[in-house]
Amino acid sequence: MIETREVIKESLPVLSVCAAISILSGLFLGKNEGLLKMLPGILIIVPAFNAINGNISSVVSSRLSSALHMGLLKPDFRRSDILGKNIEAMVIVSVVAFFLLGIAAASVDSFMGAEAVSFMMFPLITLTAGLLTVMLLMLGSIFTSYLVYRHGLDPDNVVVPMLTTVGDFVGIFMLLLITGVVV
Amino acid sequence: MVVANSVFRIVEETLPIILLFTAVGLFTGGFLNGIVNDTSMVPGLLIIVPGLLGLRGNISSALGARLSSGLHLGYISTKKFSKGLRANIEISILMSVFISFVLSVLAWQTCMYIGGTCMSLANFVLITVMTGFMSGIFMSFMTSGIAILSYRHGLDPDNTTLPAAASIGDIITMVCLLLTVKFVLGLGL
Repeated sequence: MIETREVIKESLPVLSVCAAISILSGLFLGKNEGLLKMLPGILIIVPAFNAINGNISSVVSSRLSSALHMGLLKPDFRRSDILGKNIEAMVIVSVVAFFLLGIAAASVDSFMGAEAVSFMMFPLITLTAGLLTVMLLMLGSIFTSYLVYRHGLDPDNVVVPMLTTVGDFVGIFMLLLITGVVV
Repeated sequence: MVVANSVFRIVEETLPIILLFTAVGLFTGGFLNGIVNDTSMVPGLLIIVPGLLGLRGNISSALGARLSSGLHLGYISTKKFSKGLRANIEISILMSVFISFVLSVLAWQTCMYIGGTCMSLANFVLITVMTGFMSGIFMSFMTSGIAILSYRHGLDPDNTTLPAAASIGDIITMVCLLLTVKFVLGLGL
């Protein structure tokens, strides 16, 4: 039933592309090592920050593709009730999650005695960077889902793997950008 | 679910899971911080971290999805260590090693490109491939265990394996990376 060679042949190209894109995320981390050592709170939240972005965007895109498949949503960039409600809900979830993450980062930082930035700056950083990332990813997700669906492909197979990798990249970039601006 | 007609319901269903992932992510971050304190000894290591985490997530969730299909279709048994299961585990470990190798070479080149101090190519390869191999073995067996146990208890492995693989995979990868870095530093190459 399972053809080893087939599976490897189908997965290796995708995995290699993902590996190459993730090196770019690593590049940003490596370049900002000094900043991250100064602010251990920010470094500690990097994996959680990426997890929130990845989860929110994959939930949105799998909801979108189900709605498209069921004919509840038309891929025509007009205002739609379902789309609006999904976006609204995700913005609420993001605000709560990123605010709590900021508080966690701030606590870690003050616990470790690294006080380069004031306590309330951390939630500000995570909220700004997080909402910007989620917004970009949602736009990307809506746009690519529509496009992929119009071409007769299943958005489930294309959009989700792409979003998680690109999402890590956009997320790390935004987080470091906003941190750099604030500090 | 799809048509969840109130914003409140979508929030209610999504928020707890997102917060759980966030908490798990903070643990992972704690290990990451421990590793970065060692980076003066292993310069350039941060470059491979997103790649290692992404790789583990991609390979484990693909394994989980294939096992779920196999269990549903009946070519993977819940009673004995079947050939299909063995082949799936082998593929995951093999691909972990191969992609880790690609990742380490890319990371080394990137590190040289941006300048600054970098550890040797040998160290990059050794640390990345060992981490990929160790976490690959652990996660393959764990993913299989979760899939088979879920199926035996009448749960759909598609719904249980993927979230578990994603959250546990990150922590395991960081623990393996931390151990490998300590080991390689101990070798003193």
